[in-house]
Amino acid sequence: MLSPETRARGAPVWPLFAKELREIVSGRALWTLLLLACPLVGYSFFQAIALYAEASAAAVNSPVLATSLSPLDGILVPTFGSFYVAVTLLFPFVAIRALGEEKQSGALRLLVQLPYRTVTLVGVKLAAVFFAWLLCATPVLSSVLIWWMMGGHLSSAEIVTLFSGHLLYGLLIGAVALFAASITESSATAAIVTLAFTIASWVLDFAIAGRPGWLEWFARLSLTQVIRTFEQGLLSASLVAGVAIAICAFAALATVWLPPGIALRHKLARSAACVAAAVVALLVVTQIKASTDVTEDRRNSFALADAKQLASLGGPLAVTVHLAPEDPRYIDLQRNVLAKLERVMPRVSIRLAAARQRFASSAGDDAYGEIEYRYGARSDTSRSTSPREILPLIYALADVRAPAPIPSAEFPGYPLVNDGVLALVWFLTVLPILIVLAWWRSRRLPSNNQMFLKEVVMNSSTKTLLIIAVSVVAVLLPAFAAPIKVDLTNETAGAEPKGLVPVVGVWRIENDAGKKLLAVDGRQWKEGQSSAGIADKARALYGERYAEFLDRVQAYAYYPYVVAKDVEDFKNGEITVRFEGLSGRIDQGAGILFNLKPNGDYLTIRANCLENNLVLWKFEKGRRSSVEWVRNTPTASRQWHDLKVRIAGSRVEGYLDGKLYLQHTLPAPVSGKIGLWSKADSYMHFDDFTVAASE
Amino acid sequence: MLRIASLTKYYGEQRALEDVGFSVQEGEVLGLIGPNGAGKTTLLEAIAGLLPVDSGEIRFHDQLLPLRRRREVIFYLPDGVRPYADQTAEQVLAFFAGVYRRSATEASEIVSMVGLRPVLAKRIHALSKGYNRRLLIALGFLTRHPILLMDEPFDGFDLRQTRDMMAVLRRVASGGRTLLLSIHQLRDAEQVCDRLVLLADGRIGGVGTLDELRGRANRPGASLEDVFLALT
Repeated sequence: MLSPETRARGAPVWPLFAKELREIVSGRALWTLLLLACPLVGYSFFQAIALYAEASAAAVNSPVLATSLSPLDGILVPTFGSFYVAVTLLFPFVAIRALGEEKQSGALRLLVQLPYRTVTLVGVKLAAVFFAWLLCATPVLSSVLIWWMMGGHLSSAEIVTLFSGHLLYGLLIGAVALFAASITESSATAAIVTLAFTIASWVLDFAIAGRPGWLEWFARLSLTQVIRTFEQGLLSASLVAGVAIAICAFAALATVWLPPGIALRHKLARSAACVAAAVVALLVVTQIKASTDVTEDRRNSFALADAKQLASLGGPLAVTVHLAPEDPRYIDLQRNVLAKLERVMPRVSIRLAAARQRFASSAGDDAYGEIEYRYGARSDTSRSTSPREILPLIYALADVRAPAPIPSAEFPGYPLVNDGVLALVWFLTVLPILIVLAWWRSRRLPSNNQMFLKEVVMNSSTKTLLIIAVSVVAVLLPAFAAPIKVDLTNETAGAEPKGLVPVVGVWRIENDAGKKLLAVDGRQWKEGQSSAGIADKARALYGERYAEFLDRVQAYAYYPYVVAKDVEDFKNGEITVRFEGLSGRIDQGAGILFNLKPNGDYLTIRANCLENNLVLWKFEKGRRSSVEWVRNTPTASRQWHDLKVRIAGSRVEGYLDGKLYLQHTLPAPVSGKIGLWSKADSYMHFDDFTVAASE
Repeated sequence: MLRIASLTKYYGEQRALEDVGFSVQEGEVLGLIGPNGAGKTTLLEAIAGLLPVDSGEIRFHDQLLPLRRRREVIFYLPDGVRPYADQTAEQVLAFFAGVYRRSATEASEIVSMVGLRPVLAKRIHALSKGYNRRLLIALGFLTRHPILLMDEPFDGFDLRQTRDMMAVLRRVASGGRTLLLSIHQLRDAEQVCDRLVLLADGRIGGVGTLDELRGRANRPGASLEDVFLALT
């Protein structure tokens, strides 16, 4: 038996990871990429701002024109696009260093003898490549920050999706680079192999995409396709899983080819097994249909009512398209109708009858251009590519009525006129200087050699890395500030909350199935009144405006609220809370209170389970008045809902269950304390009260 | 402790090792002697599991030592390696010390023992050949393997440095670690090794102490050089 002490399988991973980071940071490739990315990303960003400003200038006073202005298309996609070019052409040189240098210097023969499994070695190298990609992304991340600082609108879901797409693409390039380095003897050869892969994939995308037949299928293998779906604001489970599988497959191949002591035939057999497993896994994940449209303008989805109606159709819909794949009508149909149908309907099959037909040779074919829809035993034909014509056709086939539109907040568009000078200054002077300084610091030799006199594992390069990482985080922090969440876990059930100050009403902590929640209980107040029936009478008299009537009845002017202790002055950011209406005949109101002044004036956006509306109320000198009123906001009782208020200066937005319903610009910027609000006999539960302030 | 039997390796049609077999005892310094191209490096890499072989087996304490467990017992220091050229000696040593959970005191002792302290802050690419050799030896000492294979451990040292390093290796061997050294300088091998394996053209010409080899060659009092020429 071998000595247990020699079985050092439990070797710590941190020294290995730190070594890999040092290797990447000590190379010139990373810094060169960063310096080249500055003007590349900067110029694209500047150009995007200029074009966006031009379009915005016309749209500032035109809400219709403004709806076409989305920062995702106008700013983020082009800016990230330039970063994509940098990653495609330059990142392989950074990633290859993680393995190529060791192979070239012979250090790999030391590395493979260390007490780590080969999969650990490759996994840690891939983690270092991930970190390197994050550093390389500094310029593009800073562009997001600059856009935000200029007052540009950002949707976190869109940014996260776009960023995730580029991250997956970067990791895929990294995994390909590791594999290339594992099968070649020098870094130069590995770079040629990787670039051949990435550039060929790029060429593949624009040279043969849209061609009929197998060329179309072949074009789909392009790595560039990975990014496109994310750029469209679509988070597709099968795409994410597919790219993850491809990353794992290349990493697994690198693991197979890394150890030098294994015969070639064994490596080939293991590689074949890896490829086969990856192909099977890819075939499986292509069956996953789940995807999420994260765009604010819901560009990848039908209108809400149509989406609900189509989702409820249980029968199979078969679509036969008599169009060549490169025909612009087919591209329109695919984007406007087919892709959305596939996302929303449970059983859709689409067949391209003219798949082998060329667009140019379609002139004599009468059926060319027809699209046949078959639902159950009924079928119909159309030549339209517009959902306005096709959806009624499908409803007719399914024998259902076209749904009544569900009122929802329309995408307002986010025009912004800015000259972008700040971006130019940052990308052409400040950021390059910071990068050169960081490079210089990473190259500095340690001033002494006291390492072995104390337990020091951290060295200057690691410190440099940490400084860069902390700097990036520090710079980005204001944009993505950590939210404050009111923690109820240490509160006492039955007692008043300690983290919030009840000003009006009965507020206490309640235990609900083991979870502590904040409750406002207006039931006692109701019981103390003899005229609860007046509410019903008022509703009969005034309909939805009965509340205004009740406000004038002093007995009903009862508005419980609590104030958050830890938020002194809230000016910008988001306040969210979850609520559930338990009971209340007059009201089941849950609101977020803000702009609370020392004189007691405040604003609140509240939802109401009895009224299905969202209202911005103003309280001045004890009198309530409505500022903005949005009707038809479904708010069922006995169900949890998400309420969010977003404030940017004087701009106020109200969201219910993730949907933007209310927008209003106040005469003055918001500034004051915040809290939660309710009304009259409402008995409500609140949870996850979260405050994310930004400067 | 370690037994190598019938090790054979071909590069295509060219024979590199043929039916090589010998054993190593615990705490022993065994010298692998042979001219350039004799197959010394191939043999060390084959034993370490860094090179696939055509046939043969390696046993550790009479148990078969498969490839995947080779690195638990044996650590090989190749010749001509400048590991992590852009990092400092201190960083590379700290990496190995971290991997093998060596305390600061242990690591410091090893650094002093091999005489690396003056160049700790230098980058690897700036080290002289001798200091790079010391670094590799220090890395080997930082590991916890019972058997160390070293390819040309005295290459790059002058006469005095070689003597000093021999003393260091003897001290390490007396501590219980087994050293298998590939040496082309026969005078050096004669001084530092307990036993010798003579290798020529991929075949074993003899194994034993210098006196045993002299006896086999019928050359009493002859130098290792003469013995080697007589037996190979």
